[in-house]
This record gives sequence, structure tokens and C-alpha cells, in this order.
Amino acid sequence: MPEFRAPIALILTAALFCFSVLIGNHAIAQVMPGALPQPAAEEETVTPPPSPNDVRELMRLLSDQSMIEWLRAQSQETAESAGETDASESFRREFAERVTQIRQRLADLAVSWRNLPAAPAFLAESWRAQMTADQTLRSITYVLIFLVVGGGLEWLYRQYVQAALMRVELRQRDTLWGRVRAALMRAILLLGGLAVFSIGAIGAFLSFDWPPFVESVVLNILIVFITIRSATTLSMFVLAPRVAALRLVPMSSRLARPLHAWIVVLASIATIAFAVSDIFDHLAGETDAVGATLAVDVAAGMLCTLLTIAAIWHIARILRTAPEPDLRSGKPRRPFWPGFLTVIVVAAFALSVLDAASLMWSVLIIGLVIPVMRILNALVDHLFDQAEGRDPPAARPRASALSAAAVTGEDQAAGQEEPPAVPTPEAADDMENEDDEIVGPFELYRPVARRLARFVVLISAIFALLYAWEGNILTLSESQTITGRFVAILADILAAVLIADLVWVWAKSAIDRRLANYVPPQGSEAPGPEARMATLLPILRVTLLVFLIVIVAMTVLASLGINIGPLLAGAGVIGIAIGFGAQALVRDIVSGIFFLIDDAFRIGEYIEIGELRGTVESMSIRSLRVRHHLGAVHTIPFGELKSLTNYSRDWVIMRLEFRVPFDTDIKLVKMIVKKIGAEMLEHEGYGDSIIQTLKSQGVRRMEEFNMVVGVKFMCKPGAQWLMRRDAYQKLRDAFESNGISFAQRNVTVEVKGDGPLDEDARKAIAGAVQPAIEATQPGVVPDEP
Amino acid sequence: MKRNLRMISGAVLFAFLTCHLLNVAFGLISVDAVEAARPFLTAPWTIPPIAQLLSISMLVHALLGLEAIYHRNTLRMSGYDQVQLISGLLIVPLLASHVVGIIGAKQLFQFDPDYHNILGFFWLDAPGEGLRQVVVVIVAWLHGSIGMFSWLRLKASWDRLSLFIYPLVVAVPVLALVGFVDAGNEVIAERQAAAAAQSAETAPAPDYTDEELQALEAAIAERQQEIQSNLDFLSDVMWTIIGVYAVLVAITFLARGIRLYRAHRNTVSVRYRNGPDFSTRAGASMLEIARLNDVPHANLCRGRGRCGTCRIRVLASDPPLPEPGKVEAATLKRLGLGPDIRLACQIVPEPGSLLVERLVEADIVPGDLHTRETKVDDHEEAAENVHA
Repeated sequence: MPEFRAPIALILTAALFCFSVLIGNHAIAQVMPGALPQPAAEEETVTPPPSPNDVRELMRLLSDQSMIEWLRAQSQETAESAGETDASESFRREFAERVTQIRQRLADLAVSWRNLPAAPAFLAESWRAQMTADQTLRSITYVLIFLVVGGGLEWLYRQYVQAALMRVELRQRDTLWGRVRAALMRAILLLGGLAVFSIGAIGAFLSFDWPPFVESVVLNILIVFITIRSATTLSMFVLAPRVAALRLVPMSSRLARPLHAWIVVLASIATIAFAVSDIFDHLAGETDAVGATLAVDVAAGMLCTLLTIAAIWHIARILRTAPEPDLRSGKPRRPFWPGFLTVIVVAAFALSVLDAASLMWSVLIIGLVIPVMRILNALVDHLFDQAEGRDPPAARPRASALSAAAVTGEDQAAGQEEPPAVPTPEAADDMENEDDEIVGPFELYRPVARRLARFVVLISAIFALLYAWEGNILTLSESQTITGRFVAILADILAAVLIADLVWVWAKSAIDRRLANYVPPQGSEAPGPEARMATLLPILRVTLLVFLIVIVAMTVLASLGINIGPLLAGAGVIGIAIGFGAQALVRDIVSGIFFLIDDAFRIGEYIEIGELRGTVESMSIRSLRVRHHLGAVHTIPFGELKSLTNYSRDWVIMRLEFRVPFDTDIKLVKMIVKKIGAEMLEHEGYGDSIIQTLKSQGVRRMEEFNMVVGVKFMCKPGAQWLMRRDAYQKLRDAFESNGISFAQRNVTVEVKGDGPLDEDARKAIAGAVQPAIEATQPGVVPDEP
Repeated sequence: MKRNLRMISGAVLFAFLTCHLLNVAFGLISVDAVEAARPFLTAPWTIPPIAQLLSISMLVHALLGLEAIYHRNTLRMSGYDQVQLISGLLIVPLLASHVVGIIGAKQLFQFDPDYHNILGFFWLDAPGEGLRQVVVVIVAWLHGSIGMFSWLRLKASWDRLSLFIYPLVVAVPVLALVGFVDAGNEVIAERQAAAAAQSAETAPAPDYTDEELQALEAAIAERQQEIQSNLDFLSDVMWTIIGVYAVLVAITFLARGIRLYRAHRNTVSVRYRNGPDFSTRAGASMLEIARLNDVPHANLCRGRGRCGTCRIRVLASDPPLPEPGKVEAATLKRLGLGPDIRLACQIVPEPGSLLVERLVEADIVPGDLHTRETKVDDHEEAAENVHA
């Protein structure tokens, strides 16, 4: 659907330009309220100047302090009393003025119509009075020469950039950035040519001195040329009527070419019409008694209007006979928009004839807002489709290569028919399927971009309206007219709502996207950090919504003139109260968010917080629940967490040691450990978790009665306990089968003499060494969880 | 021979045009400067041997141009060719009044007009003529520079040369035209000052008797009549030239139409390898057929058989193509190309069918001719990439 209206509205934009230029001369001065003639002028009477004595007396009185106070009070009173009647008064006056203006205009039109047969003679006469036939011919010569200067310089410019331009147009780009760069480069090169042309033509013109009227005529003609060329270049850049691959708007060549032609025609006619009426205004504006210039203006306006309507219907007919590929809505088209646009154009023309410029602008702007918004939407969608690489695949490379060669290759015949890049219905179906399945990297920004486009359009429309009604936006707040103030308030409110809407859509789409990506943990799987995000994000969304609504409400109230100071103060007090009360809670929540951002722990991980240890069982918005391996459950508010040790991250190293007698063969031990390490790698329970398998570290230290042999392994967190158990068991079995015994803790008692010891003596000895045995008790090894 | 003749006569005319324009460009300084430069820039062209050479060149070039139009198979051509053809046709009618006026002034009035007179004439007495001069400068310069381009851009040194030639191509006419405007403004100011001085002085009426006065008036009238008859004669000469030229052009186009009507009765079907496939009227050269059917073809010399960039490989032809002509054979030999390779601009396929393959990328630029001489040949893959 959007593609349908795009071209028509483009034409209308060109038409808007032509109305603006035609109205420009007479209307603006009358539109601006400041420039309105004041009736007070009639009451002035001529008075003789005061005598020097009176002046001195007045000065004395004015320097008196009490006098100043009194005057000030008086003036305030009068201002207040005047303010009450001012609103209705000014509105009535404004209305009356406009009615008078229109009546005056109608009278002028009648005069102009009566004198229509005399108008050409009058204009020719005024022309001759300013400029002889010779001068006219000379002016044409001048214009021709300046155009040649500009054209020659542009040709020179083109010779130097031709290769670059051709490279840009011929090469096909796949990445978004590449395309953007190519489009920018193309724009710069094309506009550079235009700039060179303008500089050449205007520069040559400026380097001579001219009689004033010749100057205005020659300059007008040059400006006409440059404007037409600018419009053509811009239209060329956007529509690329010959090369489908370079086109920035979603449009087939069948449509782009007539559209380009219409834009060029409309721009030319409008510019020429403007130049003609401008020249005649200069020529005869002062002495015009027969309304000839008015007749010229109306005729030019009518020509533009008729052409615009013709363009609208021509494009509409093309669209009817061969609908554009329209992928986003299958709605049947009704010929509504051409009729609507025609009505708008005609109404605008009628209003411009009646000299109601503000009304004309309002009609045009309001009428165009929706079509323009739809165009922009379509454009945004097109750009995003391109960025996602979802263009219609049909015949693209061929079209671009062949026809690009045709356009820039200077020796090639112009006007080739490249196969239009219209996707087949199957391709369209594919794309719709893709819409559901594939989500590109830029998809997130699509709604935001759409809103942004809408925002820009609406804001521009508002500013344009304000400009049409008030002349100057900056002085609007001091404006005295009631409509001015009303429009200003409306603009404030709309701007606030639109900005809030933009922010909201961006945030909402970002949050929704994030939530849509979150997959809840299945079965026994431990939830990741997203789980907490999934609880936090909806809260964030609601908070943002409330915040935005409050802000918008405040702005609306403020622009309506309601004092929001007390409201803010009240909200502030309540906020402080709640803030004090909920200080700890807020701290918990905020620090929870930051622990989350740090990714300090996840559910199922074994952590240590100060004295407390355990597995993270669950998290709430405020606190963390940790279960000790012996079953106790700790609940810790996030705010209390100072530092946190996580035992379940990435890897752990476990070092084991055991004691063997001094006569043990260390090489053999090493070999056994190596073999066991290899066995453990094969283990189906924890084999996958091993990062570095069991390996011997040799003798770690010597003790009084034995050697301490160290082994270590590195594995994923959680597997270390099982592995330790298994490693000890396997080592013991292997040592036993290899005849290596573990060193036993023993106390050797040397007994002098060689007789056998009796029972008592043994007991006595055992009792004597008891302290020695107890002194070397091994420390407590921490339990496993 | 014909080609060389056209080129040489064109070069002579172009040289004259350049000198003449450079002379006018001195108008940027003053009218006197233009006048001072005349003996060095414009006057040499009026000395007998050179003057005759110039006239003959003019005649030869115009006739050869008409002959070329007669041989054109299609009028659908590249932008440059179109401009060259139209501007060529326009030069004679536009220039006739200027040439006839200057030569006539010398022959009939024994009056050698200097730039004060001429510029005054163009800017004040007949501004229409002045406008026509500006147009003819543009048209002739376009025609001349396109011709020089077609010739020079095949030279090995073009890449370096073009850096200087491009600015010159723009600078000469721009300076001439701006000089024309500046000198014109000076002349206008002079005349206005003179007119003001005259009206201020109000010359005292000399004491003439009635008879004397009558005789004086009669003499003036006679003189004016004489001038008028001379002017009429000049105007007749001019219109005769334009008329004859128009008839010649009409005859050329008519003859061309008859020739094409005869040749076009049959069709030839052409198939491009990895390219389009169409049938078209016979009688045109392969290059023209390609252009008529929107097949991009490299052709740096624009169908003059010099560059060899339009070469195609003829894979099958029924009936067989005629042997290469002299120009084509020379170019093929210079480039060392095999027997199945031909120049598209030179072969005119007979009614029948043809299977061909383009060998050079359509977007080749002159620089590639000399820097990538070897690479041009293996562009088959590149061409395939372009048209795949």
C-alpha cells in the first residue's frame, strides 16, 4: 500500500513548492501579524513640538522617585485590565482583517478579470519601458554565455570524476555500509557537478556590472536553470530512473521513469512560473492599475495546478494498470488517494487565489502529512529490507551491470530497458515467510526508525504550520494573537507526546526483543543470568511507562499554563519520604542489578559469602537464597553482599597428597599415576569434565618418617569431589598391586638391651610415646559439599 | 584517404577556430588588446596560401560530413555522435552571415572592419547577430572538440595529455565568450559616452544654401541606396549559401533513406554468447545493430575502425562474413588478433544468422588500451562476469 501513494505525494511535494513561490510575493507580508496595519495611525494628529521649558519640567517630574512608583503602578493596572479584553478583541480583529483581505482580493481579481484583454499589452509596454528589444536580445546572449561557462566547468568536472562515478554505479554492493557509502558517494559526485555548474554560471555573472533590471532578469533566468537542474539531480539521485539497482525507493522502472519526468516537468514549470511572476512584479508591481501581474500569478498558478493534477492521475493510472509489488498488505486498492490529492491541490489553489496563504498552507500541510508519512514508512521498510539483504532476488545482478553500463558508459545508447527488479509471487511468498522466521540484526530498530520518521514528519509539519501562521517561530511565545498562542500550546503538547512516544517505542521494542530471546530453563537445567533479566525487564518497562506518562502530563500541564511547581514539590516530598523508608530495599535492588550485570553468580553455583557457603538456590528481586551443603538455607539481601567468592567458575584445581615410605620407587609411582590419569579420562561419569587429568608432581616434601608425594588435576567445577574420591581409590588399588605400601604413622622406640619385653614394659612404653603420637595428629580436611 | 582528408581539414578548421577564439579572449583586457592581437592570431589566416587552405578545408570538410551522414546506417547513436552530427549541420547556416559579412565588407566596401566596428555591430547594431555568434561559437567548438577527441584519445599519451587538454577545451571558449561580453560592455559604454558627448555639444548648424542642402541629401540618399543594394546583395549571397546547403543536406538524407530502404528489406538474427538474442533488420554494421538492441559494446573510436575495442569473436555465421576491409585488416594486424576475431564496427552482416561473443568490457577507458594491452585480450571471463 505505501508504494502506491508514494509517487503521487512526491509530485504533490513539487507542487507545494510551486504554490509557495507563487504566493510568496503578495501573501507573506500580509500573513505576518506584526506587519498588519494598525488602525491607530488614523487618530494621530499633527501637534506642534513642545517648548524647551515644558520639556525641562517633564524631565524633572520623571526623575522624581514617587512619580516613578506611581507611574509604574498605573501602567500595571492598565495592562491587567487590557489583558482581559485582549483575547476576544484580538481574535475578532484578526478575523475581520482576514475577511477584509479576502474581500479586497476579490475586488482585485474582478478588476484583473475585466482588464484581462489589456493585460498583455500593458505587460509588453512595461517591459519595453524597462528594456528595449536590443537589450532583451543582449540579455539572452548573456544568459547563454553564462550557461556555457557553467556547463563547460561542469563538463570538466565530470571528466575528472567520471571514472569514480562509474565505479560507484557499476559495482554491486552486498553490505549495508557499502550501499550507504555508494549512495553517498554518488550523491556527492552528482551534487558536486551541480555546484560547479552553479558556481561557474553565477560567478561569471557576478564578475560584471549590470543595470538593475537586466541584473534581476538575468539572475532570475540563471536561478531558474539552476533550480531545475537541482530538482532533476535530486530526483535522479533518489529515483535513478534508468538503473534499478541504484534506486533508493521501492519502485519499478516502469513507474520511476514517468515519475522522474513529471518531477522534472513540474519543477521546471513551477520555477519558470515563479520567475515570470517575480519579473513582472518587479516590472509593473508599482504601477499596475489593470491587475495584469495578478492575472499572471493566477495563470501561472493555474498552470501548475493543472499539471499537478495531470501528474497525479497519470501516475495513478500507471499504478492501476500494473500494480507495484506490494508485499505488506494485500488490501485491494481503491482510487481514493488521487481524488483526495486532487481535492487538496484544487483547494490550495483556490485559497491561494483568494490570498489566504495561511489557510492554503494549512490545507497543503495537513493534507500531505499522511501520504508523506506513508512514503517514509515505505522507505524505511525498504531500507531495512535492503539492510537485511532481503531484496527481491530476481534478475538483480544482470540488471545492475547491464544498465549501469548503459547509463555511464559514454558510448552506449541511453535509454536501455533493464529488466525491472520485480519479484515473482513466489519470491514474495518467500519473503513473507522469512519475515516470520529470520530476524536480522537491524530488525530491532525498524519500529524505532518508523517512529522517528513519523516524528520528523509531524514536527516538520507543525513547524511549517507555525511558520505559515505566525511567520516567526522564535517570537511565537510573545505572540499576541489568540490563534498564535493556541497553536503554540498545541505544538508544545504534540512535541512532548511525540518525543515520549519515540522513547517509549524504542525502549519497548528493545525490552520485548530481549524478553523474546529469553528461553526459560528446561527441566533440571540451571537458569542463566537472563532469568533474572526476565524478571527485571517487565518492571523496568512499567516504570518507564509511568515515568513517561508523568513527564508528558507535566509538560502538557505546564504548556497549558498551569503551575506545576506545587505538584512537583508534593511529589518531591513524598518521594523523599518513601526514599528514606525504602532506603535498604532500594539498595538491595540496585546492588542486585549490579551483581547481575557483573554476572557474579548464577543459580546452582557454589559460592562463599563471608562465613557462609552454599549453592545458590534462587534469587528474588531483593535477596539471594543459598543452601549450605549440610542443608541449612541462608537468605542474604543483595545490599549485604560486600564480596563474593564463586567456586563454580570455569575450572578448579585439586591437589592430593599421600605418604609413602622412603624406599618407594618414585618412577614407578609416576608411571602408576599416569596410567590412572589416562583411565580417569575414559571415565564416563566425569571424563568430559577433566581439563587436565591426574598427574604426579613428584615428591612434594620430606617428613620425618616418610615422603609426601603430590598429585593434582584440573577439572570443571563440581566434578572435583567425585574425581578425588575415585583417584584415591584407584591409587590405593594400584599401589597395592604394585607392592607399594602407604607409609604408616609409627613411633619407633629404641630399647636398650636385648631381652624380650614383658607385657607391662610394652604398656609402659606405649604410654610414654602417647603424647608424641597425639602431637602429630593430621588436621581436619574440609568436607565436600 | 577519405578519413585522413576529413581529419586534416577538420584539424585546420579547428586550429583557425582556436586562434580566432583566443583573439577574442583578449577582450578581457580591452578592445584595443583584441585589436593588437589580431595580426598574430586572426590575420595570418587571411594571407593567400593559408586563406585558400582554409576555404578548401571548409568545403572539403562539409562535403565529407554529408558523405558520412549518407553512410550512416542508423541515427540512433551515442550522445557525443548526436551532438557532433547536429552541430556539424548547424555550423554552415549559423556561420554564413558572419563569413559573408566580413568577406563582403572587404570585397564590396573595401572596408576592413576592426574589432571596434564588429563588436559594436554585434552588441548594439544587431544584437540578434551577436546572439547568433555566441551560438555558433558553442556549436563549432563542440563539433571541433568532439572530432579532436575521437582522434586523440587513441594515442598512447592520451592519459597524460588529457590532463592538459580537458581544461584547455573548456578554457578557450569560456575565455572567448567572457572576453566577448567584457569587450562588448566596453564598446557599449564607449558608444553611450559618445552619444552623450554629441548631444551635449549640439553641433552648430553649418550654413548651407538650399541647393547645397538638397545636393547633400541627394548624395546621402544615393550613398544609402548603394549601401542598401550592397547589403541586399550580401543577404542574397548568404541566403543562397544557406539554401544550397539545405538542399544538399536534404538530398543526403533522401539518398540515405533510399539506400537504407533497399538494404533493410531483410533481417539478420544475432545471438550473443552469454548475452541477448534478437533478430533485426540487416544493412547496419554489427556495432550499430548492437546499439539498436541495447547491447553494451566498447567502442572507443566510435565506429571508425581504429581502436579495435569493439572486436567480437564470430563463432558462427551464415552466410559467411566478407573478408576484412583495408581499415579492419590493418587494425586486426596491429593488434595481432586471430582470424575469427572481427571488428563489430566494420562488418555488415548479410541477411542470415550470426553467433558472436564480445571480447572487451563495455566500460573500457582509453587508459586501459595501453596500460593493460595484454589484459584486454583475456577479458572473456570478465565479460562473462558482467553479463552472466
